[in-house]
Amino acid sequence: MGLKFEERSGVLVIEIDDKLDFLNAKEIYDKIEEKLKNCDTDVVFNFENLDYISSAGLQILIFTAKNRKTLGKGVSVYKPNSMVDSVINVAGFYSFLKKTEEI
Amino acid sequence: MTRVHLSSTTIKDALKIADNFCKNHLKEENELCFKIMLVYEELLTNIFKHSVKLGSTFVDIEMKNKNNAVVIEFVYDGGGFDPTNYRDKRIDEPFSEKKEEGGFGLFLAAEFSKRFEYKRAEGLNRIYVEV
Repeated sequence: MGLKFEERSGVLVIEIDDKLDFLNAKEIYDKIEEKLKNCDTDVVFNFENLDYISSAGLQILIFTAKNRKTLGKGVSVYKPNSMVDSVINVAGFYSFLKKTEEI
Repeated sequence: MTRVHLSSTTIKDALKIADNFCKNHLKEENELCFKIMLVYEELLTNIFKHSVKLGSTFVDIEMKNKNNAVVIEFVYDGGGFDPTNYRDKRIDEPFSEKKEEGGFGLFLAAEFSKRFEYKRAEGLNRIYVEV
């Protein structure tokens, strides 16, 4: 499991690599929750190296979107692979998440 | 068929059954393996999560190739619950700061399956899935 935070051009980039599943979602959720306490910017999830996501991972996306909405900020997703993209899309999350072509 | 004892086996170990199936039988089939792992994870974690409430003690798991699909069967004891006939209310709740998280597991399992069936017989629950 890889989780990296990087502040770039006034945006918090959260890179999650490999898998985002039942086994690691809680740990990642807690780390992101802690990071967001001291951050008031938009968030981009860099999924360029994310191979897999399940419903446990979706909870992180919705939590982050809710958290940012309270600040009037947004959440975007960068380069999800076709299956990760499909899960996010089927769940209807692109009604509140954006896709971005650059970070 | 592999029997998983719900009180003594971890979800991590039980997830390896599907992981090993993909590694041994579906090399280079990345998209299919993604769907198998997703459906398997969602149904397995659901069985584990509700095992205390339903009084389930074991789940027998079988995975096999069938024509152009992979069949996953879960047979488990305990009280009855039809996962194919359940839609969590959180799925349809509009997005807001107060939207409750979760509720998408069985929904994703259904969406990424070709067939998703449930039958209760002789005191056991049987979930049959084709991916």
